[in-house]
Amino acid sequence: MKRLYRFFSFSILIIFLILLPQLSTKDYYIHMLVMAGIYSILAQSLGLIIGFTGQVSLCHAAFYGIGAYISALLALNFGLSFWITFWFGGIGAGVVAYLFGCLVLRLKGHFLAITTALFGIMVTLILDNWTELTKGPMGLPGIPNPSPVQLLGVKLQFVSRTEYYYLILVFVLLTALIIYRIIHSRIGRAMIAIRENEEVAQSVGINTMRFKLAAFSIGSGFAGIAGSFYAHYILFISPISFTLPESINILVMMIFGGMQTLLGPIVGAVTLTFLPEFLRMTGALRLTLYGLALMLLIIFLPSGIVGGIKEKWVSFREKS
Amino acid sequence: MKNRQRDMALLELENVNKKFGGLIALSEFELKVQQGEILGLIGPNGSGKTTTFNVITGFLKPDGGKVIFEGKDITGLQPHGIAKMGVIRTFQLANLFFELTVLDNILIGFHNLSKIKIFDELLNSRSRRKREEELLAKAVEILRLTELDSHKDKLAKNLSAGWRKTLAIAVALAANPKLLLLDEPVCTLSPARVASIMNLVMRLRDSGVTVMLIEHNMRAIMDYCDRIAVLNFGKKIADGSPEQVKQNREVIDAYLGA
Repeated sequence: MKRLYRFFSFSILIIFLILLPQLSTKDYYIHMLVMAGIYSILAQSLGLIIGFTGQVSLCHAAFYGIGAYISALLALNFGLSFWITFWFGGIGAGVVAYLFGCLVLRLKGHFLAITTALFGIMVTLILDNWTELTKGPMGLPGIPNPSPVQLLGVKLQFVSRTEYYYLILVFVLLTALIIYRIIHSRIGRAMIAIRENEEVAQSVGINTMRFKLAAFSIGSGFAGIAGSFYAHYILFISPISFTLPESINILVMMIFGGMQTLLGPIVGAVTLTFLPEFLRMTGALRLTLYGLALMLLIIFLPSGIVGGIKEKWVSFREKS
Repeated sequence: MKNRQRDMALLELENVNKKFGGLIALSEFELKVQQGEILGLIGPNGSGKTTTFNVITGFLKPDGGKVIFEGKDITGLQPHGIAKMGVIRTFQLANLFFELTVLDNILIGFHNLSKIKIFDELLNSRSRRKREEELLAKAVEILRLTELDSHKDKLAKNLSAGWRKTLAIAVALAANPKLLLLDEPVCTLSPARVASIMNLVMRLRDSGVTVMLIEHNMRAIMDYCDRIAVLNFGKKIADGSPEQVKQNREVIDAYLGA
């Protein structure tokens, strides 16, 4: 019975998501949906690292950027299309994360946070200054859109934003599925154990370094994929999109939605992509209200929106 | 009486030294733990008992000496590696996954039991689901053995001190120990609770687990241990049966002396 209910509500959701672009005439809102999708992938993958394994990474945008630059450079210098470059972007970011992780994942808490933040700054500096490769702050224009693809009789050219929306939707769902399977496996159980109590985890035989590396590499790899998508969507990238403030932006989305849940980061990404837009109406108060919203959330709903709902549901069921 | 293999001790500490700056925690510590015995490790506060556990299980590296388990040198190996070999410890203050349920705590303990097959896990194959069912059944068995069944869905943080210590032992059990190191398993508990946990320890020993325990509760030590080692200021001052240790002059002085 529960399975049927789940399948039913999931199908309704999918249908809603497929029809969503039709609801709006403004191209701008479709663009925001695409960005919400990119941020969903970023927030979910950060959720795997911080939310489920408890490793504070403040350099997620750096891997977003590494993925974007690998893709862009492969496309511009070798004529490769997105369908090939995103693999390089994702795996490239994952490998860099693995190597960096081997060095720093023995650190914990604040020390790890600071070290990753510094790494992010280092990556920004490299992107800004290695001008022979990256053209520095001027960025890389002219990135090609994904080469056309034939699907179910429909030819997708990736010229309209709606086409990109459907593509990012597929990526978001695949990311969600993969992370779901990881979390509900013994790998996920080990990651949660590490988050909850690293000492006890070690004392029952969990190789904590191995699982931290796995979470960090996989999470950062997905950030790289998001970066590749971004490059082939906006068709121009520059270092300013991948700085520490951006890492914090992703972190906030993850916390806002609920970092120890699967849906939370997606909810947070969508909400905090659209919220600044709706707050535009308030004019000068925009940033104040944004900050206020975040503060209220942390005070009253520290487990985020989805986390908070789950907790209220559980305590409601326990009382009845 | 069990037939013991006198040729090789299960665990051997050879001349172990450990300093923390100027403080000598362990000094030329020699100890043999025989298969199938319950060995008590006692001594005044700060005598080096928990340090001993930390050195055995890899949480601390000794400054000198060796730790040998089943004939293999495990000195300075990583804690998870030593745990995988079957040396499982609990902590002085019941260290648990507090935000998780009793059942989840125990399920995590099963990590040791078999290698994780990545493809099976990610595709949720039939063999994986079968494995999960087996683990659940094993967990139920451990819950029954430790009398935690009625608490299985409680969060670990909501358990009383006594049940927390029991849960810590249950989690250690899940990890399939050959040698179980219990750090103050019955400290601060009521006599009834003490008896029930120590009886559990006896049953574990009877099922083939070797147990070493640190305790301050002298009744528990004297009534249940086969052998007792006594530490004072990092040095072993006695090693023998409860009767021998009780009458040892140095031991009496250490506990009563200034």
